[in-house]
Amino acid sequence: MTFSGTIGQYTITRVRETAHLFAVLGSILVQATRLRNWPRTTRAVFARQVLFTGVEALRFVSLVAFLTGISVVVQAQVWLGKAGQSEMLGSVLIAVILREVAPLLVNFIVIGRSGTAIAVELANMKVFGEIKVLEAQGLDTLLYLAIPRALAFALSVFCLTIWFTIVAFVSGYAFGILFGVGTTDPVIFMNTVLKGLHPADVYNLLAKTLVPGLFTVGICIMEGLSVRYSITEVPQAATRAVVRSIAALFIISAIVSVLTYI
Amino acid sequence: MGTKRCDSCLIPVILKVYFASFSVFRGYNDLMNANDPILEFLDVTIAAAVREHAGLSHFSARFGPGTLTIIQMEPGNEQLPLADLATGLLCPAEGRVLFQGEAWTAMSPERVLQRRAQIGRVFDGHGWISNLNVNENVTLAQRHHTRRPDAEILTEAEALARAFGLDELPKIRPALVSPQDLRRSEWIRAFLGQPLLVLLERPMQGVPLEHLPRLLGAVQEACARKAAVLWLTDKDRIEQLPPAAQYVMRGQAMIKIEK
Repeated sequence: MTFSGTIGQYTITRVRETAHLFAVLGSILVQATRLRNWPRTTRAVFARQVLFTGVEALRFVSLVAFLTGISVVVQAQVWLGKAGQSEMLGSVLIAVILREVAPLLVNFIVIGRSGTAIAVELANMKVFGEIKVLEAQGLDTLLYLAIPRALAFALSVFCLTIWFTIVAFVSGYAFGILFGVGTTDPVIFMNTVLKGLHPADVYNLLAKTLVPGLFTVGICIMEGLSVRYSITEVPQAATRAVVRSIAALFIISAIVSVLTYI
Repeated sequence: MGTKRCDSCLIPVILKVYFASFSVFRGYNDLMNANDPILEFLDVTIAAAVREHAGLSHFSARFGPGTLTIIQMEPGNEQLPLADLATGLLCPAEGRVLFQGEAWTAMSPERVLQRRAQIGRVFDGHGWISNLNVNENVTLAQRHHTRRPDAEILTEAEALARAFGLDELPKIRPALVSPQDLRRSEWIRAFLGQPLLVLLERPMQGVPLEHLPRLLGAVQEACARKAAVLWLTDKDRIEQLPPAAQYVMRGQAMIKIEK
């Protein structure tokens, strides 16, 4: 095949995969709005996924947020104080933590913890014929496996990001006092931060948590179900799922930032 | 997977779901004659697929209510796609498979799922969802498709467990259960909720013969309430099974044994 032919083939394959991903996500969103698609078994999968992706990730997310607070929030207080721009503290913290760092880090953590788990779980189910077992009993793969996981994943990313932001601000404020920088009054600190918050930040937060969350699940489900016979395909599928989820995360983050603030 | 209907308002959707839960299984059955076959194979041909299933050539058969049919598989050719064809998981290259008079290929995706809920099956090979406990696996289809209370489903499952010689339904992962108990748990799943069609793919595999009467008892009960039972078995087990309509595989051909 010629060089241009190879590029063309690659482009067509990627466009097809992207179209398939959008079709899967569209189906998930449409079918999720129908009450009859939420029997007790599907609700149980949703609850389990929230527990695994959201609740069980709380400790690690808290640790990362705590350390981020120390390094970012304290630094911001120190440097803005030295520059005599302390009134900008709220705007800077919102721009750095809430808009960029929190959604990115939480998505990273969740892709690493749960995205790979979903891809591996579904790949194993495919290899061992468990998808067929479900379908033979009249359980639809999309309704039973994809919808509850996708919604639980997106919801967990959103909630974890809010939690991350709170923990980072609290730890930053506490260590600011400890190091003798910034204000000691918590009400003043809170007011400074809240002053930097705008309605666009809420839309930004929603878009940077829910959308990448859905895309991550869609990619992990597609990669997981793409394996055929061999168990050796499973780690390959998991790796592809992680790489593509991270790529999607950065693309979505960049698009959302451009659409929201520029 | 998908549906073509478009609901514009939530109230009609809720009403539809509510009434559908009553009519889904009853409405169509009312149109059926009591003696109409539950499952029909009409000149079905499917090519063998390497690593997946054996081939089948021009097979026609009718499986009526209250009948037990024994299908004897050829040694070395056990991966018969009959159960997959019967549940609409595989589409034949030629011919049609009808469940309650309706071809699987002519049904909407939603209807296919509803119909499969009326079929109990013992799988040849791995038949479990690994990340669910055995009791969750066994009751999964009933909890998914019906509105029966959990307690009622569990009571029926526990009664079947005792009938099949298990002390109780295992409440641990399938990987931790002995093959014998796992197979008998599959029996429970196959008969739970009184299915219209029961597909038993080598159900005695790994189970001592002393438990055979227990399974035969469940088969008789299923036949008594007008279910159709297909029992796929190896040649060496055939003598132990009760007299019934019998087919035997020869290459890709299924031959009816006339008595």
